[in-house]
Amino acid sequence: MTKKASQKKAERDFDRLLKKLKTKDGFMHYQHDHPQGTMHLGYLKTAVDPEKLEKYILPRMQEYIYNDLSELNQFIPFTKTELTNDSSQIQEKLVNGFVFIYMANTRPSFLLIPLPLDEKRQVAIPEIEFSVVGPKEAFVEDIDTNLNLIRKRLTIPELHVRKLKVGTITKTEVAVLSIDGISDEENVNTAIQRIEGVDIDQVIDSSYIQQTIADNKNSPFPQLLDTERPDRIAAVLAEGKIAIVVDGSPHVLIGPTTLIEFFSAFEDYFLNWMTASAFRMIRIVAVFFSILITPMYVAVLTHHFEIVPQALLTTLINSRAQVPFPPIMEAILLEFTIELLREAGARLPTKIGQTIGIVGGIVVGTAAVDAGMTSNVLLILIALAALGSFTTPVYKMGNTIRLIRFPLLLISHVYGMIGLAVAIAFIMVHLLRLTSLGRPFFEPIYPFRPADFKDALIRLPFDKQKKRPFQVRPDKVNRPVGKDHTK
Amino acid sequence: MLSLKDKVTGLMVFFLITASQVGVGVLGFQSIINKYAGNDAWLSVIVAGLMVNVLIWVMYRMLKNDETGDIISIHNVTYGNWLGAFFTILFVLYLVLLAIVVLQTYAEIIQVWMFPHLNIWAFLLLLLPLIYYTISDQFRIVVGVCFLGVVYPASLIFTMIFPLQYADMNHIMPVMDHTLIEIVQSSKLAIFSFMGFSTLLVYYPFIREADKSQKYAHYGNFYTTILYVLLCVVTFLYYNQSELTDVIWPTLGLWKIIELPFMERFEYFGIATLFFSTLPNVVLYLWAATRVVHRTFGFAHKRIALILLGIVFIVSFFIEGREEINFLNDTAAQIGFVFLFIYIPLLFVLNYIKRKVQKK
Amino acid sequence: MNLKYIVAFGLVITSLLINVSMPSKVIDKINMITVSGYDKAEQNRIKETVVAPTYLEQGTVEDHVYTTSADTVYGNRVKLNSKASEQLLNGKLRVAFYSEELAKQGLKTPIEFLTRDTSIDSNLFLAITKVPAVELINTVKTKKGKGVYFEDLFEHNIIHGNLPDVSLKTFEDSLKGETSDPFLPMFGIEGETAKLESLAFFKDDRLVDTLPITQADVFKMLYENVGDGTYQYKSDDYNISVENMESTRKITAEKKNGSPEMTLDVRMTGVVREYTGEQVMDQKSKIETDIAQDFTEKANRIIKSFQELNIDPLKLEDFFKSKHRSYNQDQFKEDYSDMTIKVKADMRLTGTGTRR
Repeated sequence: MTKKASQKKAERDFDRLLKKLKTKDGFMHYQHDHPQGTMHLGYLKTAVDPEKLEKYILPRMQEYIYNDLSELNQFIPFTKTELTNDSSQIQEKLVNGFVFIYMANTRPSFLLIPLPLDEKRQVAIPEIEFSVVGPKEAFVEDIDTNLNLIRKRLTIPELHVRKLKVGTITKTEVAVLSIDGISDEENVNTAIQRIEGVDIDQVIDSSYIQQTIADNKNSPFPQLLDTERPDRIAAVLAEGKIAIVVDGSPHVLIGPTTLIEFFSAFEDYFLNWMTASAFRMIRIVAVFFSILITPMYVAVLTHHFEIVPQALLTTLINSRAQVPFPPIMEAILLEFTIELLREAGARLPTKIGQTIGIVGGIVVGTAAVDAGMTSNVLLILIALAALGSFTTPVYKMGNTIRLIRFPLLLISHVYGMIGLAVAIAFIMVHLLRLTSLGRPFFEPIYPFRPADFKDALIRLPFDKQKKRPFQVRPDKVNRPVGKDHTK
Repeated sequence: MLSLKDKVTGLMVFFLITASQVGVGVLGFQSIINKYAGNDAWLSVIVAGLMVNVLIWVMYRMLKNDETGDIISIHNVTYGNWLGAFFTILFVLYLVLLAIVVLQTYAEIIQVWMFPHLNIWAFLLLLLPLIYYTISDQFRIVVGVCFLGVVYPASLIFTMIFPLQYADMNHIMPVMDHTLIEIVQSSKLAIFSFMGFSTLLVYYPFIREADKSQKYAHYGNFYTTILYVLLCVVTFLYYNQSELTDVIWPTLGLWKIIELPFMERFEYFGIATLFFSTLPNVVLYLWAATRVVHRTFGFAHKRIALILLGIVFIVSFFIEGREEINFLNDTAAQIGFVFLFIYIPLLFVLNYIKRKVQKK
Repeated sequence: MNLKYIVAFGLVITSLLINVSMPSKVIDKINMITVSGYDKAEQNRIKETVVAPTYLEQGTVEDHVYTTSADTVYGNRVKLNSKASEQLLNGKLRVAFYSEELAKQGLKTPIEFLTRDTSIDSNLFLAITKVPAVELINTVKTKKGKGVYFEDLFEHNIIHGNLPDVSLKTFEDSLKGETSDPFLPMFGIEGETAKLESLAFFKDDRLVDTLPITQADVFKMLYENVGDGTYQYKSDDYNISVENMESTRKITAEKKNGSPEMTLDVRMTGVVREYTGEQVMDQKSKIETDIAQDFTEKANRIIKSFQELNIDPLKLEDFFKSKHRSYNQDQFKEDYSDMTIKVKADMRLTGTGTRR
């Protein structure tokens, strides 16, 4: 094609593009005529910061006459500008907050300037993983802010951020963080491979990623830990784990993880090691209690009355004196009520929710006992069990625990204690089979790594934690203590 | 042949050996072994334990010198492929028999002590998916079950303190009141409680640095022996000999008298906890059987597991009542004794000769 | 892959559904028997009386008492079920009474069904009654339930009183073993209250002798190490009552001239609770020797009566057997009635309360 012809073609292409863009809602177009030709400025009103546009770009455009866009580029005080000929990217860039300037008869013909309108939440207090002592920063929905919060705490150059885009419609940005030299390359590669293999149209939140790259999608147990605290991320990255940040989600995923980690609140590290260990034990006991006590109640009262000592016998029988249902029905009814209360309380706005909580909890409970619908002993047990399931610092695990209780109830009604033992064995085998990013989930209990116990059930003081946990197979097992970490 | 990822550390052999030996037998072996040796039967247990240690040593010698390191290849090397396969099949049948015996005995105990109207095959329907779930995948899950099945029921040892309140030293004395012959005769009966360790012949290739793991195997057997001796001594202190011949499950009687502030009749809880001791037995035997068939014939591991479980299930329809279960127990004990004390040494000798011949 | 889950799920559900029809023993839909009593009825039948409590509010207990008679002990249970409003179960049985007549006839058969049942505690308390068991059970009127009443009565007498440790287990132990003979407490009625009257000794399983409970303190100290006993001593000079006694006993056996000779060495310590004389400390050694002598006399008398009846509730044979390989059962039983059994007693007063 002759120069003229190609120019004409380019012009026609641009006209077509402009026409299409004009049909978009919010598209602003500004045309500046000058002796050399016309310059077109286009942007999406909703995506661009108008202040910066008026302050920096428009004056530059209007003041001088440029030969081509690269000259103009030099005067634009932004660094991430792009010069391109490719008109197909334009629409995507517009959505992302870019402004394009088109100059006919020049090559390259498009100049793209990023002026995104920043609408994000302020960094706030963590809601779920609140700690009384310690930092109170939590992640927000914007990935750049999140990455910044992490980078602030790990200023070493080995922090490696790999970015990916996931989701065919939402094209969400996902960042995989690891520390070179500490974390195992295999973990990182597994994570990246899986994320790239995700074939889904929208990724709204990190839990989408959590579910799609999970080792076992049919397991009620979450296989990646999620947290909203940047300090926790910094700590686990230093241990050798990897973190996955998803744009639009204030929860960051951590992997590989173990079952025990779901019971450790980050606050443990801020307290004295003895107190922290005690609290952790209490948490684990609370969880066991929460899972087992209601099925035990059903099992003992339905099949094994001989177990109950004489003193308790009076209390139990009295409490059940007016109840017309067998223990299993009682238990299911009460569990259902608790779940109802929780769901209803979650849907209601805060002000009404509080009242309903009190009404539901106290009034319904007392009334139920008085009416003879349930026994007061069972009510106490179920309330304690529900509380126990909320002691897990990770919300998802709390749900799992409550869910497990139902099949256990059914089995213990038919088979009593033996059924309970079989069901627990079943859960244990399931946990043994689970892996998190390919690493066994049940460590350090099995495979048995006594060295890793220092941070599992109890938390030993910091000077005893010189080695990184074996589960993540870190490249460097010894933590650097007072020495150069790159050695 | 097996990648490093599938292998487990040598320490696990300790738990594998112990878990395959301690199981449902713990409830009743005391009244069986005192048939000949009476109140000295606890010595028989020690003798039996020592004999098993010797056998473990023999097995390790055989396995170390074999390429693959499991019984299928030992058979093939010694007998040639066809005859080797024949003996391997016998071994598989023996393992399946052991699994059936354990399951049936446990189910019978539940039926007698807890649920007189229990429908046994329906109960097995509950257990079979669990077993399949454990054995169909990697070996390390089986090891995990064995590990947990040793650690968790170990807490039951503390319950032995309670019967000591009623202990009477006179029941055990005088020591060595019986002839050596009688003690050895009782040892023969005691061997049944140690028998599961023959699965070592199947999972040896799955151990990392297997040749160095021998000491763990001996420790495991040692632990089992101590456990049994302790239990035996406490039982004999609590019951006197004439009582013991009548009681079918002495251990449950020991648990009966435990009175905690929140729980009275401990044996119900004890039986439920013992499930965690029994499960590793069944799982290990069936996994070993599956693996052997898989290695010999090449069928898919999972399919074989299904078929074997199906066989176990169907056989349970034909077994009813104390007598038949006793018969099964005795048969398994006899076969096991022959296998361990006659066949294994024989195999060792033949294998040794064959290898020496082949080297030339 | 999904098919497997469905099949497994299906199997589990089937298992549950089939076994859900197993009868269950829901705790408030059953009658738990706490006390049972057995009497001899006409034509060699056995009469059984059971107590099944109903738990009312505020922790009070109301007992229902049922009585029937049948040929076998368990046959009674079947008949009783036709009278009771809920199924009667043995799980919480705490005390079983047998009437004196049954005891004299032989207790082996009535005990039988207690030992076969898996739901019965080995710590079950057994006792003989002088009056028919029915009467004894009915005299007790208490708010905390007859079962708990009797159980507490037994327990505190065993720990602090003159009753040695007796339960189904110890009874069975002595019954089945050929080396000792069992004994049980015996109850009677005084006025309107049930009372622990004496210890009843058995030869094999038949009742042959009794010892009043007030004298059973000596027996208890001969039988086992006592943790919290009492002793009364009366003489012309003074009466003394000793409390908080702890005693240890040691048995030694020797062979002298072909026949065995046994010595029971009992050492006692105690605190003076009541003393009718002057200051204790002056007379301390004399009191100690007096008490020791008194003890020895009483003990000798008791042992002599055992030897005459040829019973061995003190487990002497058991002890001998465990220490001597030359033990021969027939020989021992022959020698028993003539055997020399010595008692050595030693008393030490460790305190006198708050006064001298």
